[in-house]
Amino acid sequence: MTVDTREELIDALVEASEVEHGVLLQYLFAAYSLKKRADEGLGPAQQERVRRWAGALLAVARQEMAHLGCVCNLMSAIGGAPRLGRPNFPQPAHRYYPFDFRLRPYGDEALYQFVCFELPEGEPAPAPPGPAFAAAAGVVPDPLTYVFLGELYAKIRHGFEVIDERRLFIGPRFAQDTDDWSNRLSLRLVTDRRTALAAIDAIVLEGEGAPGSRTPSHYTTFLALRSALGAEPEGFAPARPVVWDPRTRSHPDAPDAGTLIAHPRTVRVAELANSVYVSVLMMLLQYYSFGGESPAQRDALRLALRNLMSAVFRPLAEVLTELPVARDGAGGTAGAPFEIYTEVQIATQPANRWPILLERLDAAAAAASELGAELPRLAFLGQNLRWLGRNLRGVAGGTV
Amino acid sequence: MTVSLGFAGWFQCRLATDPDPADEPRGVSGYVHALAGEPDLDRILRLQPAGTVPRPFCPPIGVTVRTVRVDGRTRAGHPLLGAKVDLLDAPVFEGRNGIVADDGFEPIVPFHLRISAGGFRLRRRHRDREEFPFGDLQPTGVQPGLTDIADATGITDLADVWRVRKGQVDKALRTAPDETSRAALAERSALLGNPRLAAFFPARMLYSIELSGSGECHDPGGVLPGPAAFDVPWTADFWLGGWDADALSGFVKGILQFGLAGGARSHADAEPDPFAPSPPPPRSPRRP
Repeated sequence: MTVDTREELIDALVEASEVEHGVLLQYLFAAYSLKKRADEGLGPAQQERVRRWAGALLAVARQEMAHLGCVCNLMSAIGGAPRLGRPNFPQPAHRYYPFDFRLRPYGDEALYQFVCFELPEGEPAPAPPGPAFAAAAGVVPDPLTYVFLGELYAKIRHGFEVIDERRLFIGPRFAQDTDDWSNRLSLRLVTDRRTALAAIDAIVLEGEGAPGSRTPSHYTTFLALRSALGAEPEGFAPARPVVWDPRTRSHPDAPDAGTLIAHPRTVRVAELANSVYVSVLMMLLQYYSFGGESPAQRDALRLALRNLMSAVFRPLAEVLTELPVARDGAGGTAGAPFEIYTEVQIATQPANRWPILLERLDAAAAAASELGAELPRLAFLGQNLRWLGRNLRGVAGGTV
Repeated sequence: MTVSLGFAGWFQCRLATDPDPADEPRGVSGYVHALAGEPDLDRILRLQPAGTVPRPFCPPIGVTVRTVRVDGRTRAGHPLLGAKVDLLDAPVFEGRNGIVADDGFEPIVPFHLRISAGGFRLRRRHRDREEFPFGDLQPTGVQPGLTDIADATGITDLADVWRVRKGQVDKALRTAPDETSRAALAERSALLGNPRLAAFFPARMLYSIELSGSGECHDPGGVLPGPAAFDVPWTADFWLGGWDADALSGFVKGILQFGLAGGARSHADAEPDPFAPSPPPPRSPRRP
């Protein structure tokens, strides 16, 4: 049950990558589901409160993105590869992780789950995971079990403490990401045991807070949001009528129902959102799988990632929360499904990465522009995608 | 013969800021929000009051001609003094979260400048068709410029102005008649209590834009010494600064310079000016 070999440490960091990734998507989904306008039934003061809730949730999600980047750095420092794949939604508890992974609109159920994700050690814990596993003997890694995120990081921390430091840190430091992504988001370089433990402690501190003072932390943010929601009048619905776990098709790794989107136009927008999301993952993989890209190319990639997330994906996800799921327009609305249709991968030859990425962005731009005839905001996003592609072409070099 | 119209005044631009997407309608993660009861944010740069969303206790919007010079010579009492200066066709700061330009280097797209007073209309586009990446419309630089901004606005420290305004907002909040105005005033009070957001005030975005597109000179009263020439570019040199994150407004100050076609009538009328400035030097290269 302990992490005390390189293989177990890499496995635990793979798990941490998937969990951070999956958790932040759930935060984003809930934030995007929130109403914005007075004509959606929000009173003036509620409109302001709901805006603050969305801002708080998005701020936590941005910190989770930094946590994912830190985990990529930890992985890189010990010779592992970045992990940006994950099973599709929905996932019941104990199939992959000790808690269920579902895309839920903003509400008490979502906030309860978010509190559970960030539950600090020592606080009253939810029910323990099901069956206990025996420790493996010999050459295969021990099964990794944990109940909450802090526990997973405690196991990773233990691995960094006990494995021989001189043998463990074999990754080149230039492959890590220490750029400032914004004035609110910067990442740590991991080169040895001290810096690895500091990076892990920072992640846990942001999630749980310190034992003596839980504020500020994701945990207390979610407690406060839950309390604020509870103070609203009975029947208050801050979120749009977004369905749980929207999807465009069934997936072998997520055979559970979810909510299949049937409205043809909504399917097209959801597929576009999925395509942009996978492009983001491919760009992150390229960014963290250093293949000799020049500093200018890395800068352009980082900027384009920010562009794609803020100026394309988020508006697309918000548009989806106002589009119907059912063919007849009745029932709930959709949301970003975050579907991964096949394993996310990038070319091993760095020169081949750019044309593949640019083809994807061109296709997304064309799809957004076409949909823009019916949904004006998508025409704007199509323009963003086209211009973003032109910016990347400028640094991609002779391969495109 | 060259005419120079000096202009200045407060403009408004209601646009969401990073990390909100540029087309975010209400403002969530950035510091700019559409307040309760206000329409959606629209990114449009407005130099005149029409379409603005004025907030109580903020400076009035309106950019006007402040000086008129013909061949460098000041014309006191000229009929164009006080003329309205406007940007047409719903121009925006086209940054798009860094896709087009970084913060502070956003081009103004489209750029179609108009001067109007009574029946007089003078307008011209930068180009008839603007194209990404709009390099000619980007600022040539961003510079601190508190001296110029203080001279132009009369404000040396926006934080001081905000302290006074916060008192006015808080007082209004205590007697606000309805929930909508209470929500809006409460949010403004919180913003005005955060002096860090006043820090953008002393920065200036410097623009130098050549206007060579189509335009119009409608001068039924013969206000100008001759018709404006459209066969050579005009120049608009100006700065935008004094950003007030509460009012969502900033200050613009600059000069529009253009030549006159067939200026014989004016030449005959003009007195020789021994102090007329020499022709302007060639323009420096633009920021790529």
